[in-house]
Amino acid sequence: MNSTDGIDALRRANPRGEAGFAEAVEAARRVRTDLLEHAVPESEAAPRRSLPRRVPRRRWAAVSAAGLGAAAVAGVLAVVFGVVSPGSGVDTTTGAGSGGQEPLVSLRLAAAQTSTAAEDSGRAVVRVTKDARPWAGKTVLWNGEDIAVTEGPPSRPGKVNREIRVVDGIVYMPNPEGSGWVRLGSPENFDPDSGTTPLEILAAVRDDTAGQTLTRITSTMTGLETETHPDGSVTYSGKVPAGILAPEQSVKEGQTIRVLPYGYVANDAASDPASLVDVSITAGPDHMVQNITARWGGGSAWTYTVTFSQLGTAPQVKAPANAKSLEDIRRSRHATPANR
Amino acid sequence: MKDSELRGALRFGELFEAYCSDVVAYCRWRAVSRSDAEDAVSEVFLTAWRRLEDIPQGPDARVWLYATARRVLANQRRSRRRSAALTERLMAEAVVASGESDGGQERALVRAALDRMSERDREVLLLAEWEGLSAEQIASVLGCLAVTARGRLHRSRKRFRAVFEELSDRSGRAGRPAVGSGSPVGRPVRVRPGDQYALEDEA
Repeated sequence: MNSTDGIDALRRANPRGEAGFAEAVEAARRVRTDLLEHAVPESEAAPRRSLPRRVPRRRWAAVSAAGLGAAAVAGVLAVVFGVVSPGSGVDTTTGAGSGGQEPLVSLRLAAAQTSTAAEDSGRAVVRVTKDARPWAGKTVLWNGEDIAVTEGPPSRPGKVNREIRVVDGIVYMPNPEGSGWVRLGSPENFDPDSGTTPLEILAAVRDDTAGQTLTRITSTMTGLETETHPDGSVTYSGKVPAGILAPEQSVKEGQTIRVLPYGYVANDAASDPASLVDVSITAGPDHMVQNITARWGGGSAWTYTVTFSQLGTAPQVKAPANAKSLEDIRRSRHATPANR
Repeated sequence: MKDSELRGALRFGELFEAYCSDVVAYCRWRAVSRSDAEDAVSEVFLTAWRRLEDIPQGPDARVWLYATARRVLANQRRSRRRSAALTERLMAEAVVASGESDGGQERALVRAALDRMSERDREVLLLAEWEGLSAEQIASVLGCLAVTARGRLHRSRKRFRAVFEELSDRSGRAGRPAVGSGSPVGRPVRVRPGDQYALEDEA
């Protein structure tokens, strides 16, 4: 048996195929009879207790840089793939706009190739500007299960640009107490269940190529137009509801917010899920998506750009040489004369 | 019967017919024992009956039922933990359950591979593969972000494949099933309350 057989075998082992399952279902039918004969709907009995709402939330305080970085890739790729997913049913009355069918075909080709290449490796540079001034940024490099995320520019005043790497299942960060790097252990120890651990988000990058995001995007993008550049690249432009770009909702300082990929708050017009933002996607002459840009207004003029490169050809993410473990750092701290 | 009662009864009947077997299946693989599964199914539909107005329309109703079943089973396990003699009983039932479900080498290998996974990974994997839920639906059942569910699903599929392959190879080399009574070779199953498949050396 090979590895593919594993999932097939699992499916065949579905308990619905076990002996006694049909009898169990039949036995359960007695429940229905009993309930209908004897039970009273709660509306006429005890006051209804509301079901505990399971509201997903982003843990702002503990979000890992890698998670956020890769989240941006996931989200943006989702947008890219969503727009162009083959067979995704873009309605020419809303999605094709003046572009007609041919641009859609090209865009689908670009997305398919980009999707395949991005499965393996790539680099994404994200930049957010406010009124044409740099506001935030990150660079993400991924290769297989390894990932490196560098924050900035710009960096916040008084803070250096942070970097985080995950190589061979080990997380590394610059030593906050000095030079060099610290080996932090498994990425699964990072903010588990937040959806922002490096491995979770890397998985999302891949899964989004076939996720429901595709349907959402293709069913909402309107007014697709194209512009061919002298170098052969083509820019596809249209409008997408802000809620598609920033599908995640969270709470910050008591306020409900929308969160863009990378964990940035969607400000001004982008905070309204229904408002339309301008989105453009540029595919190179090699039919690979080069970048995606979203623009919106409101109190300020915002741009959100992700530029892809080295899709499928990105270098390996290397573990920092001579990284120390936390235990090493503790030991060296106690060994310094000042601490004796 | 009042109109509202009649409408409620009709809706409940529709829900029951549509999703009874799904709830039974889910409870059977999630519950510690078959008898607990039966109790859970009853409680899930009792809850559904009482909260008919809370149940979403369409396919989301199934997700609501899974989420309810999950809470019912969790409560069941919590109350079971209070019993001092529980572990012994559970272990005895687990052996019986393993024997009952032995449908050949492949099924035993699947069970053994599942045994080696954490409950969290196993749950998300089985919600996808046995219950046919999407990552978004799984997220609703588990109460987590969709991206978390996708991540767990990706990881759990990978782990399952690796473990299954390893066990299959071992089985092939030995010329016999690599498992007995649903446990991997040389690895005794220790059933903990709330963790039907947990192993002694599970991380």
